[in-house]
Amino acid sequence: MSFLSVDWAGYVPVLVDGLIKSVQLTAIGFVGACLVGFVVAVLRMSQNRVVKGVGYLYTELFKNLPIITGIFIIYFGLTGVGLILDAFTAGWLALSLFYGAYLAEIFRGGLQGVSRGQTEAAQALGLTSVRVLVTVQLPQAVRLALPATATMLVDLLKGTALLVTIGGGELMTQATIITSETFQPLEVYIVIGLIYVAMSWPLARLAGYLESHLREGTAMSPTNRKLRRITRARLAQEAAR
Amino acid sequence: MTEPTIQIRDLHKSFGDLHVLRGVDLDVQPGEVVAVLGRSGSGKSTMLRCVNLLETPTSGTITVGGTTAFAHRKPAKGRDLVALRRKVGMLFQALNVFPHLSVVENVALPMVRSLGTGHEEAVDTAIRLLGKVGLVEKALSMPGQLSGGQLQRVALARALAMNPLALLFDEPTSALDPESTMDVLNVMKDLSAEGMTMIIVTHEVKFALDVADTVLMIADGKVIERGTPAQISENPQEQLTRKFLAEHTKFEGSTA
Repeated sequence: MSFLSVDWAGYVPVLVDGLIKSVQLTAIGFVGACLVGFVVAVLRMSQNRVVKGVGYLYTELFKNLPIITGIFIIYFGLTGVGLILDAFTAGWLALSLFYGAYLAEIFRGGLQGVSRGQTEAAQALGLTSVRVLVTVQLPQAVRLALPATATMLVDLLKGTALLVTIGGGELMTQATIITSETFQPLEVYIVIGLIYVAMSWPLARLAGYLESHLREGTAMSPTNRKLRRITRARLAQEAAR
Repeated sequence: MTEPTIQIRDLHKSFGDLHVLRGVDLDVQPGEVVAVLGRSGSGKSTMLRCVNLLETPTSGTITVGGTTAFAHRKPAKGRDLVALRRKVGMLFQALNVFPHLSVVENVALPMVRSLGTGHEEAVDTAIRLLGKVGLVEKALSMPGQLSGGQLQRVALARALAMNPLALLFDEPTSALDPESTMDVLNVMKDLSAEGMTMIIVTHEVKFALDVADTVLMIADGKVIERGTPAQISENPQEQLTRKFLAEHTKFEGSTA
């Protein structure tokens, strides 16, 4: 084993720990970002000017602020007003707030991409406004927003590496610790980089897979699948007759 | 006389300063087919869209199946609005089949979601209606695989699935090629023969005169002339009606 000079076997527990933290930060951060994004998207589509303005300010602020600045404000800055957060909490909070602003734009685009005619057709069928949203608007909006949302998820996973600056305990933090012990930055960061690639690449592939399935018309809800199943059975019966 | 399925009295609609409807009256009896003719911008589509409150009228009254849809400047809301819309089906120029649902789901899912129909029954009804519009073999296709005429027939089956009192057609063939137009018009003709109550806004003058019991000519937000197809085509009273009919039948002789 002359090729690798770092004793990786000994670092497995540290790496696993960092990996778990990275995945947790990604998952919690993304769920938070989706919630923020949905709320802000709804705000921005409001008829009320003030409400709309709040949504607009939010997205513009976070779109134009460097993420690292936001992380420092939340982790270091807020201690000045007595709010002390651990690095993990500050980490997912910052990621949720920033990626929430990006997702808000994507979600808004998706919802506005559903044509007025589709909504009117659903209304004309006597569906309640909640049913119109759930049966017609959201499924189409999700299809429109999916590719960009998946890109954001992968971006967020990579974004967790920024938390090295506050000692977030994720992979990148572990990498700096290993480097300081082994003095092998090239090898350590290449290995860590490959671990990031190994995580984000399948995630991107999964999104692509989901996207192509939805495009081909794969039913998303159990009700839709059931309707198709019954139809298939009925058509088979008729054909047999 | 029986109660009209749809009754419109002194209907007005303004969009800001634009006074689109200026006092329209219309009674549609059960089983009656009313064709509405008029130039683009005459207000005929707006009138139709007021019936199921896709547009909110400014004033007047609208009654559908004996229930008030709009009166005293107030539209039906909430449950009443939903109930009204279930009573009248509508077809649009822009086809508006749901692209994320297969053909059979387009027809069956609104029944399940809106009427609470059981899944099996909804599918049986959907298959029967798709048969009626000649599209059973497309039941499991996605809308993206269908032609415009097929899509409009899916939309028709979907509207029929709600078992409506009446159907509203807002230029249903304006986006279609001639062949698809014929397919759709044939199905509409069958429906009229079965006694479906319909209001048809169309530029297909020949079809309108052929299928309608009553023809309405609208100009500048008012009904300027109404009568049987024979009266309208053979003896139009208004200059505008004569001009409209002449323009719309100009080239028809050469293709017949």
